[in-house]
Amino acid sequence: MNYDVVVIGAGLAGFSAALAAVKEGKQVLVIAKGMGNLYSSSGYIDLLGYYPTTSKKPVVNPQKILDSLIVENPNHPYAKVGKDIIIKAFNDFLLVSEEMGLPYTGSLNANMMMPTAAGALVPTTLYPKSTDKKITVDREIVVVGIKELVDFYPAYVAQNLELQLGRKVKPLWIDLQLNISRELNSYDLALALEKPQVRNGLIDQLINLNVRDSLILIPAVLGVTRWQEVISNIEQSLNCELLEIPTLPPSVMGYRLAESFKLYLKNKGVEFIIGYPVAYAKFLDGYCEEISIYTANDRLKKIKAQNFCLATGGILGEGLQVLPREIKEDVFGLPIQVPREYSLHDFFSLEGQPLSYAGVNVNDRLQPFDPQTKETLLKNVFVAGATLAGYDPFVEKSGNGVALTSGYKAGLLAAKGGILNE
Amino acid sequence: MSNGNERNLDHCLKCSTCHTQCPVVANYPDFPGPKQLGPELERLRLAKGQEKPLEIDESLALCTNCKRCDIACPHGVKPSYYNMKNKARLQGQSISKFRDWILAHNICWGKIGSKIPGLVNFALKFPLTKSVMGLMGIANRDFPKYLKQQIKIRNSKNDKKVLYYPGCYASFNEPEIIQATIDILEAYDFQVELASVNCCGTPVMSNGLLDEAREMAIKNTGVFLKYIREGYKIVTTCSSCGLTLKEEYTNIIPGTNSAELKQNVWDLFELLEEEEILPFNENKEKIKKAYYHVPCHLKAQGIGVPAANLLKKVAVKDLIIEDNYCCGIAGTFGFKKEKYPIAMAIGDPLFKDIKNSQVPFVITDCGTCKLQIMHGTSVPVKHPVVILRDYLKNSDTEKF
Repeated sequence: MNYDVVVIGAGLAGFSAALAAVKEGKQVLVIAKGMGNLYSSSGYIDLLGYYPTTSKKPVVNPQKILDSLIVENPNHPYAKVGKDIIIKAFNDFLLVSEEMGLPYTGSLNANMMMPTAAGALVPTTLYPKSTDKKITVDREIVVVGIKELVDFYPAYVAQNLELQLGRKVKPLWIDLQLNISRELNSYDLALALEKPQVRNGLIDQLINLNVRDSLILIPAVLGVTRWQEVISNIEQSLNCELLEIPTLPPSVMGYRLAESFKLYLKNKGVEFIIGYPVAYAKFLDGYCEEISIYTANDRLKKIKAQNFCLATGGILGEGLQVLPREIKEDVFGLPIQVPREYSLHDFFSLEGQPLSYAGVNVNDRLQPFDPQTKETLLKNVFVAGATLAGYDPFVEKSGNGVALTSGYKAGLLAAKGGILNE
Repeated sequence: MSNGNERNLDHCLKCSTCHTQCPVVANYPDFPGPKQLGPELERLRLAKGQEKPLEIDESLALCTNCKRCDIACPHGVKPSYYNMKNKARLQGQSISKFRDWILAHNICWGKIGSKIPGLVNFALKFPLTKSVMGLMGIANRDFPKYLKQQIKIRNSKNDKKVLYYPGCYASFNEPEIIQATIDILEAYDFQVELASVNCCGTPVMSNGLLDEAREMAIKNTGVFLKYIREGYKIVTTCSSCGLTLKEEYTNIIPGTNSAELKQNVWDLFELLEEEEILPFNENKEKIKKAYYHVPCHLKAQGIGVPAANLLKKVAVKDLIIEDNYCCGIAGTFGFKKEKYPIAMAIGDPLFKDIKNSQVPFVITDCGTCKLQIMHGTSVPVKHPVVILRDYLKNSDTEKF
């Protein structure tokens, strides 16, 4: 098998890299150990939520703050990607999201505050158009829980929201009466609500609860693929606004993004082999010549490419493996910048955990380099997403933003052989 | 069973990504799905131990073993492995057990059917046969016709040697696939031998008859290893047979034999992809448009879509490659009366996609996918070898 660009990893960084490369007319293959953690994500794309990371106040205008971040943190992935490409990646994604049938909206100049399933308000930058509803509206706010759904408690959400908004938020329960004996998750309910009969049951109950004209916060279960129909049907019936809250995995909002993006890439001609990790890589003079995967019968399948993007994720995505005394990058065996101290005792420390900063060091072309010798290690490998060193996506709320933008740059660089005419 | 997969159990983080990829979950809300039936219940089972073992959830019978959960897992867990293992312990009603046994032993009926195809095909169409089948719990749908055909092999000696294992469907229902495969392999200068047919065990295994599947696997592996040690590669053209030899045998008969076998099993197009030559006629006019459905068991092999890539190169101008949907048949699953509606619901998005794409025909590697797609769309379905054989240099066009 021979490709122009092989992307390793099927999360947002990998998809973004594949998108950038296929738009340059390249033959692209995405390979991954499994389906990425994008399926478990909120579906929101945060550029930058908190800066400095210890700040308790969310960033209002992320694009503006980006300038100081880039100057103050030259090792941050955003500094390596550069502001121009960050802006381009976000704008391109907005256009592509329309084409993939899951339109996103948002502005780099203004973060939006979105409620979580715990009732916290978190800043995000891009979000599905269907969630473009401000929590600060004048309408009455109600939080609706669904009896069949585990792990979503409206009173808990409402109480936390009241504390932050300083106004009344009403919790309510509804029961879809599905009569299914097993425990149901968000995906199951989203499938069920695509059926008009179930949906009408929900509408009737909401009418009885007198929530017409309100802003209704509801766990994100309003349809798997037919969400547009489900949401507008309910909104029109109740003259209300519906704001979905991302749930614990399986997260329907993450699912919608992952599936729509993947299908879009397939239709553009990107190939996928999912389910088998990279087994080994062959190098020659600072280049990766080929990689191999062990297929179903444990036989090595060789895959050659001009250029590679490494987007296998961080510790959570298993792109980085934490062992007792070392952290390993599995695909290319790249050196990992390891923090002096792995973790702080206070798990929820505002400073974040030092381990989050671990990752692969790269130069401005996202090629892996050795921080001691400053030598570029692999000239045709471009690293993206959580595999990168130098930032804490959890406290600064930049995970999907770094994935999207560094993926985009890595894909562009891979398509153009490492040189961008900027 | 193999303990490699047993050890993977604790990698399950309960993210439920597999759950969102399960075609049965999407169409039958009562089905608990791969995560719950697989790693979750297996944990409980281990915790409870042997003395008071956990009862097997009856809904396991609804697992189609499509393996979409296995490749979905971000952490390398294979839920289908636990499902196959525990399915064998299911206590079903005797009538459906009998029906399952009948369906699992397609090879017996195939052997008879392909010897006297006229009579058997007539009998299968007979209303009385259908009502008896209905009483047994077999869905009222068309069975594939049995066919017999004389196979021609050139018998030329070569260093590149292949033992072609066509599987039951090609052997009894569509021998044209066998001849086309031999023609293609010979054009690529392979010395071909045809494996004496025995079922690989897929239908037996998916109907929970694990002990019998083990016996079949041991017997087949013995035959294959003899050839492998003489330098043959084992080639399949059926995605499910291929996956069974490559993966399932190492689960049901772990050890050095199944490990040696699996290393030497190739999907036909996986093998051809490694070859330097391209013995096809480039001047022949290409087919304008076609639809290629990737069978679940091909997708699970992790080899990409080598047949589709070759079709694009030599035979089809605009080839729609689709690997999003499961057709729903899952071997014998869609032939069972109580499962038939689920099988058709699973296939529905695929049927719609095919109809919307306005193609003259569909191409797919799997025999039962073919039956299901024809049943659901009335669009003709062909095996890739049947198309590609037509494009061979010096192809004998009179064959058509």
